[in-house]
Amino acid sequence: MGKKLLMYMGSAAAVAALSIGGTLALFTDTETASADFVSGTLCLTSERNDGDTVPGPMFYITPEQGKTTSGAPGTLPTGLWAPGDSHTRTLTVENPADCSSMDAWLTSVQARLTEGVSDQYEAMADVLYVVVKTPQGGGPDVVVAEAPLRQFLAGPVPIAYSNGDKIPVYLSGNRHMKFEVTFDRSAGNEFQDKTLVVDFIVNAEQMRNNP
Amino acid sequence: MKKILMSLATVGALSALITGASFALFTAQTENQNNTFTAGTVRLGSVTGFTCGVNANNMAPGDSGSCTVKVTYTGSLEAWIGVDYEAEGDLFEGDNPMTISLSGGNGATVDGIYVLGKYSDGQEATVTVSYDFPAEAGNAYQEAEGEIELSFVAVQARNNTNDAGNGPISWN
Repeated sequence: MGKKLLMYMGSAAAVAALSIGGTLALFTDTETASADFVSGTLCLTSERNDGDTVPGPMFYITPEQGKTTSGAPGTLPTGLWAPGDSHTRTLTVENPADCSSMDAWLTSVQARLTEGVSDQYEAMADVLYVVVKTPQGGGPDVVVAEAPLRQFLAGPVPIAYSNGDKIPVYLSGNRHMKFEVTFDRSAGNEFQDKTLVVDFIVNAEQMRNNP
Repeated sequence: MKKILMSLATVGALSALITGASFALFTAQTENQNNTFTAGTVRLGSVTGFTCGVNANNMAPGDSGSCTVKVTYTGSLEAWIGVDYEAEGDLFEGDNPMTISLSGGNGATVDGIYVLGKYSDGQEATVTVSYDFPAEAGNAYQEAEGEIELSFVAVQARNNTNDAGNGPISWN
């Protein structure tokens, strides 16, 4: 008798409590946690850097051609090219923290014909030889790419150190890249008075997760 | 079942690679625009002169004289100008032919071509052709004719100057 009666009485008490509005007043608490995910950015800027006025092209014939956007004339014109001529100019590539947020590898260099130039003589790309150099570690400049300009116009030419190491440009850092252009000594008379105008492009990839 | 799932996952991954799924790394590029490469010119302008002495059309043994010839240089690159000549005709044949010599240059001869000097746009090069018809020529040369033809050549001086600095390394 005793056990059944006690169970019955307990159930009745519970039903009574609910029916008169009583609640289960357990202590509770909640916390939330969130994480924001924002992807970073990679951007590069560059300027010619041989003591010349900036901004402007590395290679130009006259001071007027090499003038900056504010009109300051270029101070290092190459003058007209003759077969056998060779000129070297520096492009400083920066990975600025105001638009970039990560380290980068410089991966390739390419060129394209500058738009809006009516008298392009593309055959010159076969007789202009381009050598790209940059320092390795704290050492001197070493060659990281070399090919006729034609090849740079055809697409990205990979750049790397001779031991296969990639070329870093760290966040907030910069890298000097030297462009040595040589006009083939055996070019011939067909190139007299001819002009080629190109844009040089340096490509980069994120360094992280990209050994 | 577990093995089947693993196999499916592997196949899926391989398929992604084979179908060209790529690592979409962040990339960036920077440009330096308007790099201009313009080749200069090596140009010879007009040749003037080549007027020889009054006796040029009535030569007699013992005559000598000179002709002056000028050529204008119009190229944008500094250039060496040289001159060569060819003498043809009976006057230049036989035992006592008329002889020719050139002057006006810097005294150098490169590959058989007489060097007149190094010239810039607008400058004029002058060569003097001296002739000498030997007094010993004799009747064998009566009514003999001869012609001198000068050939001027210009070649860029930059990257093409010999160690002596008095002429080109080569003419082509």
